[in-house]
Amino acid sequence: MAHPSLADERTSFIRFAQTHQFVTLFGILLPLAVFAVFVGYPIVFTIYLSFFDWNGMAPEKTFVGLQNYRYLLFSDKYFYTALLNNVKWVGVTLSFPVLLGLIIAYGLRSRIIPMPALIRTVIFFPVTMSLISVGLMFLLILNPLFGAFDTILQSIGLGSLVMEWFGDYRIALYTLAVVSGWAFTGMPMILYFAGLGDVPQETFDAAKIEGAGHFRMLTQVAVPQLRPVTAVVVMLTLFESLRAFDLVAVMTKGAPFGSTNVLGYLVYLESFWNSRFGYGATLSVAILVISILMATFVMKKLMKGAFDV
Amino acid sequence: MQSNLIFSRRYFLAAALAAGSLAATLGGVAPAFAAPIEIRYFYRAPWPSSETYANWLINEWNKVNGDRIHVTGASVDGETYKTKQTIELASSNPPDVFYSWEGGRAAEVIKNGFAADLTPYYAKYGWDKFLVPAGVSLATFGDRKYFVPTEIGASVVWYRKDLYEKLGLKVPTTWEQLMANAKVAKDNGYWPFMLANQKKWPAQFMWSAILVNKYGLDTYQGLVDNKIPWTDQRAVAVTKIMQDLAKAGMFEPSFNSIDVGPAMVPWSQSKALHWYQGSFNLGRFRGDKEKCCVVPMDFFPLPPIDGNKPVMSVFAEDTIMIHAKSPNKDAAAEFVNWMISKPAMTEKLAIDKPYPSSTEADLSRLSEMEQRLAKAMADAGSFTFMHVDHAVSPAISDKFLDSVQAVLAGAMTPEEAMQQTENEAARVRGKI
Repeated sequence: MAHPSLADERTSFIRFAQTHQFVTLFGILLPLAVFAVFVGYPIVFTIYLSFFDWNGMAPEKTFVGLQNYRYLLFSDKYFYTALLNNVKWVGVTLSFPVLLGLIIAYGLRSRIIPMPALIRTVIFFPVTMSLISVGLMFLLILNPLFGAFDTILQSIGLGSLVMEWFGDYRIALYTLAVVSGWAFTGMPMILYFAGLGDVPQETFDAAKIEGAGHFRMLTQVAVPQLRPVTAVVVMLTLFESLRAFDLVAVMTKGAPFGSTNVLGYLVYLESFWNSRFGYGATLSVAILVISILMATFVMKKLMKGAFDV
Repeated sequence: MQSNLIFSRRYFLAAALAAGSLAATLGGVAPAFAAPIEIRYFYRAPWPSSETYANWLINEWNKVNGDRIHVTGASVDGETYKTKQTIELASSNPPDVFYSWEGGRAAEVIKNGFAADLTPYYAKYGWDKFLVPAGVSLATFGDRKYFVPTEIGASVVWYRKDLYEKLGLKVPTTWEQLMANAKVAKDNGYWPFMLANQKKWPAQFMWSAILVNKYGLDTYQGLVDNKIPWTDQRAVAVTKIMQDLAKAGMFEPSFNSIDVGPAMVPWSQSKALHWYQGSFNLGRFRGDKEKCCVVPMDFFPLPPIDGNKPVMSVFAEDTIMIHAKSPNKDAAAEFVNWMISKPAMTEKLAIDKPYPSSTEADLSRLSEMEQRLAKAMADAGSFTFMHVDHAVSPAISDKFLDSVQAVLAGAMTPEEAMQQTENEAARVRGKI
């Protein structure tokens, strides 16, 4: 069967628009216009700005060509630290909250965990909290002088595990990522919980008759059935990790000595703190490129066939 | 019926004519109720008391002058003011009066044409006659004055008087004596110095004071004025001194994890002997008490090192500018004049924290120690020095603070730290 040509498609769209004027205007053209103004224009302007040196105050901008990109690629150590930190952040959030969310969801569905409604609500609750509040709360909990967490560790004889959660540059980023994971666990849990509801009970019953325990039922029955949910969860986690900003801004501000900088925070730091809006735009373009690459990977590898289950 | 109607029309026309004439006559003689000049005041409120004081300032002004010059305030908390300031100043409707920093940030605002020249208003209102000389000096760029300091501060070594007595120590007059006292404290289980460097700015206080007292004010000014590179051996040596202090356990444990606010807890619990910090902490030291302080404490300037003449840092903590594009600069200056008047400055002490920039403010409600520090600041001369994050542009100071924090954590050598700072400085101002 021959594919319709571009001219055919155009004619068919015009015919559709003529017969469905209301839908065309409010369902297609208006959203497109809003998207163009609030998303398209800022992206285009950011790319344009990345070729300039501008402090955000002066009326004129100085065109510098690719200088900002050269500095980013060949001289800016902070960029690579932030990029690596984002990768670490993704690693932590993919392993900790996603895995934990899956296990809890399975536990709730299979009634291993008592009071499932209460537990589900409690674990989902942090998702509804502002990350700023979460950050301030954990600043107190993990405070080295009077924080509850260190006190609990010491009182149960695990004082040797007490660390400088935010002050030690070797672990500060992981502390932030774990706090972020704590706040995010409810999201994969609720998605997996809903996904498990769609898996036919007979499948689990059959596995049980075959002698499968909970571990095998989770890994060999539930996980394959949950591939579409996992694809969505992984995609959400990846983009949430790339957008990480709030916790860094409220808890460490990149300290100690820039070791907790992530790309989103670096854009803020360079643009608004150091008054380098041109270079901040360059960093934003870098985030855009990384997002496109990640989205392509997710679409081609993870999402491909995921919804054919 | 017909005649009644005619009468009514005539009566109505006559009445309308009379009313119109009366209105026209009265309009000619009655005073014109012109709308007051609207002034927008954009300020930084780092403490809850800052907000209370600003509201008092605006309300009192509007009570007396609101029908002539009406002021509206808008505040941003301390942390985010710098980021919002850029957007506000460059907007099409900028504030008439706004908070600015001294030093490097002020220079940026001036360079970009946002700050009005206040020299004529200094002359008109005689501000330089009653403002603390160091504050006036900091407001001067070239031969012009661009801001009015409303709050000044000083950095000194705060010490616990009770612990000094307990350990039989004397107030040091040399660096060596200070280090000897610190060692006694350490040997007796106290932290010799609080640092509370989580937000990375506190360590620079000690760094810049050591540099000034060891190598002189000219060396420090050379660094921040871009005449001496940060890789200079003197800057490296001071960073090394800080590193040695950290290695020798002269600061509290976990100093890179503790912020200044929470550090008040161990300070109040008598765990530390000294704290080199700014006087803006007096609000914290005072706590709930009417007069400073919640614990027995006093201060001394950082003592001389190697016999050099010591210099106490006096800086402008709060400064006010008038926007160059304000159509109502005279009215704005009148409001600024109210801000630094004796009643306003005296009230600042009651509501906010020390120190008002006016020498005329009534300091009698302060403790004896605070009054002594106020006198020391007023006597400090026309210029001392600002700490690094006030003295240079944010981009350079941010890298400097990062670098010093890294040295203290043992993750960088002093040479690497100063090289990193110099690299950033070179990016901002070019190579020296």
